[in-house]
Amino acid sequence: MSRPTDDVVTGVVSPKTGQRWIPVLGIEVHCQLKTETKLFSQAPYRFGAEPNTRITAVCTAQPGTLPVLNEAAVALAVRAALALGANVANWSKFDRKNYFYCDLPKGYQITQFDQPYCTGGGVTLPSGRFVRLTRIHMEEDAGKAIHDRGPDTLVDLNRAGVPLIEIVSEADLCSAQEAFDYLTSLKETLQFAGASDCDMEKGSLRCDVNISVHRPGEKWGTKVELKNLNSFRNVMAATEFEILRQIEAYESGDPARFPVQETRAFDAGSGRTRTMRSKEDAHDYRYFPEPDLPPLYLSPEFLQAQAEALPESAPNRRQRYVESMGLSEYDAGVLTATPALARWFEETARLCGSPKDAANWISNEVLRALSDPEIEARSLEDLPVGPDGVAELITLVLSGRVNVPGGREVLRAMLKTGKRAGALLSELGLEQVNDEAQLEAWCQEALVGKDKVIADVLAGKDKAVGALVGPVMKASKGKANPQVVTEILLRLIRSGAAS
Amino acid sequence: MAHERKDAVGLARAIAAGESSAEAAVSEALERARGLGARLACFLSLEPDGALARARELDRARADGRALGPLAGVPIAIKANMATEGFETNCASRILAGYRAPYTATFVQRLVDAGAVPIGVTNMDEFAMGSSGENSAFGPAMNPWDETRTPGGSSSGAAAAVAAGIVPIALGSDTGGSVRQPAAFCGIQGFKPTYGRVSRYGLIAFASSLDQVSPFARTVRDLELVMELMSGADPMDSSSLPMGPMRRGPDTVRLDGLRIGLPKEYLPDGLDGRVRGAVEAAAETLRSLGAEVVEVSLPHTDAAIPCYYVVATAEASSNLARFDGVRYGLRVDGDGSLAGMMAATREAGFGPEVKRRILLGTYVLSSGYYDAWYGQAMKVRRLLRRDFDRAFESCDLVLGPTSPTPAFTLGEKTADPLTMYLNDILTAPASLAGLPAISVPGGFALENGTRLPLGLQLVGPPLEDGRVLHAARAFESATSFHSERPPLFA
Amino acid sequence: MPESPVPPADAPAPDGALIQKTASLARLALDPSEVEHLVPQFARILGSFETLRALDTTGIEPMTRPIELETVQRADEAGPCLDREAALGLAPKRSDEFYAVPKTLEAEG
Ligand SMILES: [Mg+2]
Ligand SMILES: [Zn+2]
Repeated sequence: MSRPTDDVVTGVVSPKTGQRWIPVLGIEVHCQLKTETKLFSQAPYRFGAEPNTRITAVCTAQPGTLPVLNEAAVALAVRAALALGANVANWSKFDRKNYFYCDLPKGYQITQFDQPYCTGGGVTLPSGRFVRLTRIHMEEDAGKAIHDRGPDTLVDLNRAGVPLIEIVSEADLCSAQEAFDYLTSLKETLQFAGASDCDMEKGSLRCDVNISVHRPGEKWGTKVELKNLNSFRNVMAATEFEILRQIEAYESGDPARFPVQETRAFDAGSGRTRTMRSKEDAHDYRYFPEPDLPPLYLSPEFLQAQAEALPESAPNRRQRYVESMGLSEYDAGVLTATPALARWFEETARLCGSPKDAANWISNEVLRALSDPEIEARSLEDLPVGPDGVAELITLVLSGRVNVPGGREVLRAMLKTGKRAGALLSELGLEQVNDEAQLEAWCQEALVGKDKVIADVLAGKDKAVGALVGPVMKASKGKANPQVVTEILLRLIRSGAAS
Repeated sequence: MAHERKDAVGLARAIAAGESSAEAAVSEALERARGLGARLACFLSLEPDGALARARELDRARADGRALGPLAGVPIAIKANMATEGFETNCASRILAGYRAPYTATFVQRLVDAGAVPIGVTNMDEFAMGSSGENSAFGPAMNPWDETRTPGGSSSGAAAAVAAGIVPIALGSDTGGSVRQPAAFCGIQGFKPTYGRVSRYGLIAFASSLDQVSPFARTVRDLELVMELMSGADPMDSSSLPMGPMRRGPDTVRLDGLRIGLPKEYLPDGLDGRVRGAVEAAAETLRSLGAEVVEVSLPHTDAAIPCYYVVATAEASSNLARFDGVRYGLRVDGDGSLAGMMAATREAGFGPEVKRRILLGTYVLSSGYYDAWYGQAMKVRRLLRRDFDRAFESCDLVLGPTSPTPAFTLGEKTADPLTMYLNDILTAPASLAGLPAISVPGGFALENGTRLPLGLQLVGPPLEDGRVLHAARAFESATSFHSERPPLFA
Repeated sequence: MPESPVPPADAPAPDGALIQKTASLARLALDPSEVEHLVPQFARILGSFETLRALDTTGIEPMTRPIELETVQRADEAGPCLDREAALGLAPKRSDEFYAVPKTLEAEG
């Protein structure tokens, strides 16, 4: 379990020289923990809140204020670590990282330097490769500096102090695709552990990629850090660009052009990376132990309790859906796209008693509704109907009170109005017609003049009757039970009642 | 009637008994603050309106028969590095001039809840960095015993205000001796609790692992009362001890069986004879109260000053980073860049001693120097603590001088920072070790015809705050140094 | 913190350049006369602090704080926020609902 050797790695073939190069990638992820309040202050954080309304004396660093650790942040950080198979230390400590910037109110960030709460662990890629984690530590977020509005830089301290975990991988990754896969798996793990929303658009997941390249068997090249990667797609694009940029730089043979240790930003518009403006002075963060916070002790009992409270992982759920619920691999994958969807599905399945039907209705109808312009909701949480409502509808379909097309119509109405399935069924008049006499009358009508179909059926081609089911359904305004209709049609033809 | 001869306990009793009123006590304190206090530069600002309103409220409460707190109507003074909502909390620094705290410190609130009435904010060395009060951006306070001399520092104005009878109680902060040394110079009691006894929430940090809110008073029973009210765990301060308020020692003023250790390192050959004499006399007094006096050793005492100045400046360099011209306080534009604004603000806003310490602290933490300075200091800090742990195997309290000399004259030590630093030699060790320590009035030294107070220091093991105060109370009962008044007082 | 067991015995006291560099790290715009003053002061102060460095501390655990505690944790419950007007009212410069500082481009840290 480590980085594969250079002869195993596919690497990248230089478009110019045809030489093989080996990229070496490590990723640092900052992930916001899903707490109500900040890491050290009681301010409640919300993405998108009015500027400077989620601040207290503590997170604006009013003189004399002190940090007090949020227990929920600790619990979520520990769950994230356990979900990643990492080792959580019984004792860890906090340190100060000193630097000046307008979004850093205290002039230092409280973080964990040489004794993080978590080491080891890793992420298994879809390819089966295991990417090791170096460490995970807790730290506080900085505020936000806005540079593009007016003559000044504007500072919003709402985000200052929000709890983060920084997850640092070993340099085990070998390609842009692996970087993408790593982030996808990591995100899924953190989401299913309940630790974070991992929403890059809201900044609750941010990543930096360290990249170097070298020729097979040679020593590693100079490491460059990529920042400003605000989507997984950008991570791929930036990484691909940077790998080729570095290869080209080395292949130029001009040492002046060789990669230097620096931080580069990705510009999504041009698809290129560029040197970030270098700072006034070389960084010397003067880390030292945070005197305001005694060491953090996590008892074996606490860690045990967190392990027991850890929600089931996505891979485990997929396996269970396939093996004990009889779902297809595909459906199991669709239904574990997010923890919320998986919970939605499991609840619906439990209430209606049929996981397969729950899977079909949710993956075909409910998810489609989220992109339907006529339905306002864009997420499961926004839907006016919960798993209980959908389960009720499925039960009505299974018991024959409404046919499948009618059920679909009822569901759409449910998702638009929030009304219950039972009420909508009679309101829309979609109650399935099972009355034999009425069905037979509609079938008789449909058979008129359909001699070809009758002949085919009589010649043993039962399927030909399908052409007549549609007209009967139409006559019943969709309320007939199509299965019963088929049976009646066949009976009428065979008994010679059709003329 | 004149209140200035009463201590806080006596004053609160008189008010509760209806012999006086909160309004009278507070008005008198304000009046003295405007007169004597102004002459000695004790206060940076007074808050007469709020104080009088609060006093009248307390008097009404009493008239209505409502229960009063144990400090009801007692005027107190707050050091300028303590957050009291609406008070100017400027740390005697230009960088915070005009800053009014948007919240109140836990320890201030606890005293206010007990009925104390803060009347104003006292002068100090800027950001508590100094031993004479001369680093105040707004001019030094003066010693009531001799106005040409320092009242000590950094809690200069607070000590002078109590010694001048303006308030019976003033809160100071002690990082390396900033309450004990001015108490000694001003002939009053000054107590530094065990680190963590009193919440630091609302105390503007100088050196986080050393700072303790520490009260001044003229009697030990006042200190005991203030400590009972102010101490105890605070959910807003993670370094506050997870235990209830301090419990005071027995009522008796006998010290039978108590072993007093005299560290030979605190009485070196070159020590001022008057200071040595006071310590020896005190040992005799304590013996007469039933204590046993033994010799002990604190072998790493020589390293205390460098250790203290490395630890304290390192922490300070980080604690003072928040004064950057962004969210509060002064801003100077500088070259128009963000870094330039910050650097120009800090350059203009901090005084020379604060800048010196920020630089020293930045230096000892910086890459390449950390191990040699800060890392080493943290290890030596443990050696200093071990010295005390070993000494306390053979004694219950350590006795020594608080300061090697009585109050020095203003200007005497300002030219050379190191000379000023060396003044903390006897107080810094207990700070580094986090131990409870008191300075009690222990005698007088005649200097050019002027009587100057001498202070004695008693240091206890961790959490034995009650024992330290009990011994001080016994000593106080057997001596009369504490009841002497500066001549300008009369 | 990378640690060497024995501190270097003869690290020279900082010269003017090192004082300047330290000042820039500490965001202090010292003027040259201040630097000139500080060089001998630092030499004298740090020189007298050699007693600290002379001590043998092999095997001694660093002591970060005077009392050994474990950190307390608070419940994840919201407390009152500062009033925005009051908070921004303390600032030397604001722009609408923001703190305002001289234009700067890229974040540090
Ligand atoms: Mg990082
Ligand atoms: Zn980080």
